[in-house]
Amino acid sequence: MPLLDLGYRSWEGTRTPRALRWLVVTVTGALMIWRGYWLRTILALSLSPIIFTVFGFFFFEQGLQDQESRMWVSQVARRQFGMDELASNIEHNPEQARHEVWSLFLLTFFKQSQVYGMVIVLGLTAPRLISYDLRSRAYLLYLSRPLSPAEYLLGKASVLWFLLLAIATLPALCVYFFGVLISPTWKVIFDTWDLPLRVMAATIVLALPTSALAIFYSSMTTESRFAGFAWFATWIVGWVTYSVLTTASAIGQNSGEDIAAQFHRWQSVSPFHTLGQVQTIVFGANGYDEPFWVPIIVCSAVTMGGFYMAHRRIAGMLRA
Amino acid sequence: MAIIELRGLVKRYGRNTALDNVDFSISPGITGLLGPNGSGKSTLIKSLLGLVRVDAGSGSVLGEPWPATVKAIRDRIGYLPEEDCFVAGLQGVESVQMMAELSGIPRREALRRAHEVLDYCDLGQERYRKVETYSTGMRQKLKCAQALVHDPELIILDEPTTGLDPTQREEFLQRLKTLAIKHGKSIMLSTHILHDVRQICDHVVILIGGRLRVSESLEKLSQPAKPGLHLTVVKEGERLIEVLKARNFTAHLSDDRQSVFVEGVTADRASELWALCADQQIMLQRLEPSRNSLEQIFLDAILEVPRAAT
Repeated sequence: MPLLDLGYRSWEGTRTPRALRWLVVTVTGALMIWRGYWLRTILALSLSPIIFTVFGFFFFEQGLQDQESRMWVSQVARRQFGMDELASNIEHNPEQARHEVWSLFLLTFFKQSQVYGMVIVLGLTAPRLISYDLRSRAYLLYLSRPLSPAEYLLGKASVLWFLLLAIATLPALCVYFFGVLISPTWKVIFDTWDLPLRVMAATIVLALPTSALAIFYSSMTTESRFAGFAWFATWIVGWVTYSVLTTASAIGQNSGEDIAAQFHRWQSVSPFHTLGQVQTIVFGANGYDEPFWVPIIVCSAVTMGGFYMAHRRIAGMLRA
Repeated sequence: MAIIELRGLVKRYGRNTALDNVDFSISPGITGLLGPNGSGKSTLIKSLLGLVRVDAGSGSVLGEPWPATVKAIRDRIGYLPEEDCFVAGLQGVESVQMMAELSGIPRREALRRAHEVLDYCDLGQERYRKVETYSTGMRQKLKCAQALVHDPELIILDEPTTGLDPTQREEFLQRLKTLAIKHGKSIMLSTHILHDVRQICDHVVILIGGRLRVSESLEKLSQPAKPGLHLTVVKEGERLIEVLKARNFTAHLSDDRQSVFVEGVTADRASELWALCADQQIMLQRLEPSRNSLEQIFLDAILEVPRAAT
């Protein structure tokens, strides 16, 4: 027996704008993901590579006053990245090299570490985003409200964008502001004002094709394990194919430039390398003759194709 | 004013025509949507909600132009799908709250309403369990709460009593009746259970093979072409017929042989028949005006038979 039974109550409040209702799908999806202990742990672990970027920023700024730190950073530029010109710049004119060094560290953070983090985190979360809804027919519940299939997909994709924001964009921006705070002068803001924008652009480059691919796989099956398998297979097979093709092509090449050209020739077969190339372009570090539009076209095609196919699938389910 | 008014509704799936030039209009109240499997009921509901794109047709739903403003219409409709559907991983109360938020109710108010509506739909502490652990009956109640949580003006229910035990079914139907009478909700009930329709509906729409066969108030449909009274007696049916014929009544055993049907007599002459039975020492068990049964109306609609007196 209830202490208080209101029965049915009418409601006459102001409704939230219809154009923003897809955010409910995002918030619900993010909250459900956040409940998973293992996923929270993996998210935290995927943030750990930021420590190296922080150290890089710290030693570079320290190097402005301390010769030993400066030499260490220049050695990293020379040995790790093979950038002799930049290394020399760091040694002789560190103020001028700041923009390039910060860009290099941020690019490395995105390109080397966060892509791995992204593959693991999205691989664990994305497959069930839509496949569970297809299995339990939840899409009918969503779409019987003022949501179109496109808004439903936008809400689901935003869950993935939220995760990427948490593991890539926010740490990168934090590192940038850390660099600003530890630099000796506020003038650094005028030198590096474009880097936060480049971080945002790199996030978009990372988020759009990957989420489109993940959403596509998830929408094609009611079994999330198949979608997960396809996701990881795409990255692993792409990587292996790229390695085999480049190695085979590089055999017999004489000059270093010819070998490098072979490495760039096949990058479109590997999602990892294609993304890396676009991010390199975003951070202004594209030093090769390779036409920059090839990886951009590949990423755009994956984005549009992935979302189009997922939309077709969801709209098609309603006709069943 | 009609809450749903559709004209020339056509929906084709490839070569198969699911809805063939359907015109109909529904007034406020409870409307039963009947039809055999594959008659186009679910397609009609999905078309109303804008979940499938129609090939032709126009009209208005709740005064909003249809299908141009389906999103605005969906905000004002509560839909209980026939399919067993749920958002896996959410608790019952969370899934109702999410539905309220999707319909534009602010988050905190959505949670408050979710609890109220779950109370109203008789879902107790199970609301804190994950929905995938629910029984069929619980899921029906949950879907009902999801359909009601945003206080819709029109509630569309597709086979809502499936999986409910007899007591729960009775309570559910009473709840619908209360919503219609006390709270002014219009309800469209798609079901195969004719008893449910007979019990609560004011209006009946029958679809056969994608075509509208009947759209009429239940009261009107129930009126037989010829008036008459059914008299149920204990064992003495044959003697009653003789007595009635002797008094110039036209009487015969009804089709089901359970009662005596007296043709051409309206309810205002019931006392005359009552007195006659008393005079002849015939024990009258039941006396009721003739009505078309919903089963007969439904079968007639399927067989395209003109409605006749029973």
